[in-house]
Amino acid sequence: MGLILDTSILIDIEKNILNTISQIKDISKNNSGNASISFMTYSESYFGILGKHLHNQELHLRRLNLFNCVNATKDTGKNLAELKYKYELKGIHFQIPDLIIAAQAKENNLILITKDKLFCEIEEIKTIIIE
Amino acid sequence: MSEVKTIKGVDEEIWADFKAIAEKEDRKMAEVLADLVKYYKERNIKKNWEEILTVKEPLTEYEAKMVEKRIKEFRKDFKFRETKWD
Repeated sequence: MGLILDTSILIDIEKNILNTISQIKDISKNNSGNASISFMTYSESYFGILGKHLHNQELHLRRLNLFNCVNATKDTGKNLAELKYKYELKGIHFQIPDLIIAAQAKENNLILITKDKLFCEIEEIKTIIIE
Repeated sequence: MSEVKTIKGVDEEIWADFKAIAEKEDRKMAEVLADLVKYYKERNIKKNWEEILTVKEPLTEYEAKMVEKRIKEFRKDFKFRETKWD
């Protein structure tokens, strides 16, 4: 199974948090496939990089573009709607960006790597929490 | 019968070596080619991960705070505008 990283992980990488990086190195050795991110993660990370607050914006943008960006399809929309419906009935409310990431992980059979424990509530996807 | 595909510009010596490798390994040439493609694919994935996880110039604390702040702002805007049906 391939891996899909969320924004919390991308920020840790950009901050060079060695604990996170070493865990991801280990996980990536045991899982085939590219380093993927959702188009949603791409968009919010890109928005975070935009502006004049970064000393070396080009460098961070370059790394962002190294990821395989998973694009949205009709199935993404279907999965998103089904996840929202199911978990709202259970009383669990996710932000739409998080549900998009989960929907794409499900659609593409990717393991989600995140720091956000709430994703563990989503039974349809395999999640690895980085502590 | 499987489709015949063509590779242009293959050097005679390279072709002979390729054939010899397949014979020595007791495999079809198509299988050796598949292995070769698999090897390069895996190598590229590994290189890609290495490049992503090697951070020479990390964000400073201030920069990271700013990036996180902007991402939070981006997310806030997902409170979609209410649709006016009538």
